[in-house]
Amino acid sequence: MILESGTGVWDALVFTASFLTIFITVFVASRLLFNTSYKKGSQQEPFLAGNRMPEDFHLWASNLYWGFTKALKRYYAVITPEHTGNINTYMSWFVLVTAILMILLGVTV
Amino acid sequence: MIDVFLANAPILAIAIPLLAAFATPVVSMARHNLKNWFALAAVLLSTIAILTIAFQVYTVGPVTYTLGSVDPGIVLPSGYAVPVRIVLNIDAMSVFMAVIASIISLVSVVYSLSFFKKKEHSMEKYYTLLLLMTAGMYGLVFTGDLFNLFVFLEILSIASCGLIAFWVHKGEASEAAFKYLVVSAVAALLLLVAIALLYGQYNALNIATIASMIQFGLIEKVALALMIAAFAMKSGSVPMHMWVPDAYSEAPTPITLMLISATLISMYALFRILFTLFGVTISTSLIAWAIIILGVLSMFIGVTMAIVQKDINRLIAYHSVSQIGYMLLGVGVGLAVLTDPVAMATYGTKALTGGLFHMVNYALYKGLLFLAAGAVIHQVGTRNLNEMGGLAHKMPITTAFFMLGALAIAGIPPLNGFASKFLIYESVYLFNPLLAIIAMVVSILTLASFVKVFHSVFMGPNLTKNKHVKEVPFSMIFGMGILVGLILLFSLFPDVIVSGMVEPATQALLNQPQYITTIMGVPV
Repeated sequence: MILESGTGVWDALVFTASFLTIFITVFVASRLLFNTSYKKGSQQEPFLAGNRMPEDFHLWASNLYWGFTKALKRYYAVITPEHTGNINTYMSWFVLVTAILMILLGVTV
Repeated sequence: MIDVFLANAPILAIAIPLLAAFATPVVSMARHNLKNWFALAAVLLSTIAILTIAFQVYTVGPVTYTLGSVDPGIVLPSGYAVPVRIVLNIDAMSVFMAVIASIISLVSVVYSLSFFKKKEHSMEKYYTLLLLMTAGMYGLVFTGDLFNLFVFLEILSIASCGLIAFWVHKGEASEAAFKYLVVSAVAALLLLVAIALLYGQYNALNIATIASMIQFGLIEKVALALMIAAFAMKSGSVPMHMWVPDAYSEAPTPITLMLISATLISMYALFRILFTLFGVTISTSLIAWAIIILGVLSMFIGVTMAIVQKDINRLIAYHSVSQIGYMLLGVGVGLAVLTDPVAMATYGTKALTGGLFHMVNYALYKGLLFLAAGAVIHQVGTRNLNEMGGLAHKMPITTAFFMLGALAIAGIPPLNGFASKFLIYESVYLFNPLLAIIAMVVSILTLASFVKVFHSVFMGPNLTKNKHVKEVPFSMIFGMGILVGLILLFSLFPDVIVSGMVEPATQALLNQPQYITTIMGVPV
């Protein structure tokens, strides 16, 4: 049941058994060792800067990875405008790739 | 009856969905709901035919089927040196792709049963086109004839166009279908030019016949360049990938699944041209490097474009582009060392196996992700990630399925995405460490991107506006469940899948002489 890459091996069953053993052990230990006295509806509700969380408070998709996109701003400034949605752009890239392949293959007139 | 079915399974696998496609509107006239079950029965029957052929190929060897011949097993009529009829030449690579296509077709039809509203218009046309896509895919992977390959590609493309524009009342769907139509038409036209060049040069259309004579002169180089460009565009490789997010996001979800399969079939055609038609006659490694560079660009640009998307379907579609890159990378490395027996034995075969294994894994987890996203859109009514949240409260099964697909695509062990990426990483590292490192970085970015999707769609509080939302109907769950079962199977027993299906496919691709002798016979 071992997948060999030529330089390494991968045994999914051993990994899964090990993972499940560790997971169950940690889960049981956390239940036994840590305080689980949380009661829903009590004064243990989450709060934000001293205020109760507003209803429907959610970290929306646009809030995520702004740092990543800001760090790669110059990359995105080049790559995003190329995705014009215009079929002429699509075809231009196709013609360019075909031409490069012809050059690589040494097609000469 | 069973003997006739077994003896004619190769053509029945194509003919059943093809004939059923045109029978569906007639069946629909008899009873409105019958078309759903008729389409399901047709796909099931053709899947049985595919499995029958797979059994023959894996136990006996390549299968040939000559159309129009009294005995379909006779490829060369007496007195002829080359085949004059249309021949289906089915080896382990063809069967490997046909099995993928049959799984996807089956899941698409099952999912479609509940996906559409009961009074959705034109459902008979929907199933007609879906069955035509299925027939096109089977025909394309089974044919041993270049012109037939073009014909089946056209059947596949035109049926796909119709289905992308299925919700024609939405302007975006029509626009996406138009773009796909232009892309497909241009690709098909160039393929036809390439086939015409080869026909003019060798007076033959049979792949094995041409492969037995092929040189690497000017005409062949032009034909090769045109074919690579055409199939790379149809595969959705960067920088010719821009149609992918348009088409994938606008098509009905079960059709997006079929488009994934169609993309893989185009990639199959590319590999068939490179390895079986040309093989070692490609005297330059620059073409292999071109494939590798297309793969690396696809991986990186696909994933970085995915991260910034706010439409769930477009985000997953850009990840498709990224995953296509892994396959091109693995197969490109295999192609680069094709003429070097030592490198091929050390890592080339494993890279190729990794690339092919990734194709089937990709079909499974990407299909699951699109179906789960489709289930969410079906219930919430929007594709905008900024308008979703907390759906794990309402759709726990879909949430679990989506998480499984997300972990698999990110290559998290022990899931199947990891098993194929493991083969690619390790073999590509021996070829060029930088390429393997880029592949790993892309995997990390994939995980980051799906953390964003999972958090914004499923985590967080139970939003007030989603109060009406509930879990999707059973047939949609069942459709996703088939893919989940296969993902778990492929995850826990990757070695069985690799040794049973993928390595024979790799050997079939590498063994060009066997493909030729299956048709042309052993040279005297």
